[in-house]
Amino acid sequence: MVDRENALGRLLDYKIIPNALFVDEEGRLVGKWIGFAIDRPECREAVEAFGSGRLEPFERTPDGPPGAPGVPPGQTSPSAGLSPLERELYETRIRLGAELLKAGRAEEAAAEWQKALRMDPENFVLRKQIWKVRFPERFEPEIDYDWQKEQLARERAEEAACGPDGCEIPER
Amino acid sequence: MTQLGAQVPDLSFPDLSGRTVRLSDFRGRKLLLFIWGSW
Repeated sequence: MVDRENALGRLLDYKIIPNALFVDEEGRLVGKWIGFAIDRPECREAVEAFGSGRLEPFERTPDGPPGAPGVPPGQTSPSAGLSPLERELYETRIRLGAELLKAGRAEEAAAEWQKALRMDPENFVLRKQIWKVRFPERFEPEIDYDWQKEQLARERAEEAACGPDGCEIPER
Repeated sequence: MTQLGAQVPDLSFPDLSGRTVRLSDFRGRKLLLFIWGSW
């Protein structure tokens, strides 16, 4: 399935991928693992426990202590600090960016996403979307993961000094 | 935001062939959603 509108991201408020969601037979969310990787033994064990009915409801994040069952729900989202109005604005900007991209207005899309990123600098999925638009040569024909790490470090340094939009040029 | 134990909304998505798939299509079975990106 292809989540073009990032519906699951909005619903579950994740900021990085890959993730795994465990849904029981009645359609209830019983597990949420941010940073899930099937090549890790603990991830495979969770899938096996889910299949055999031994899985207790859990939530895991990359920041959770190793081996711990998870961290309390609600502690995984930096954007949880936004007011309801700010949250609506944040999500609207993300949706507007998606619509602009579909209309072929890529730089305007990236600009809207940049505004959203300013509101939640921890949204790494959004940050990568902006890179994909502004630096397509880093994604085709091969994905340059080393560049991504370097770019993230550069942007983090700029944001620490000046904010996620970089330094403002003072008006004369 | 959907919390643990809550019903997941019945979202629908296109699959790679363009066919619409709803999460409720899997009701009655355990569903593991693995979410990843190609970039």
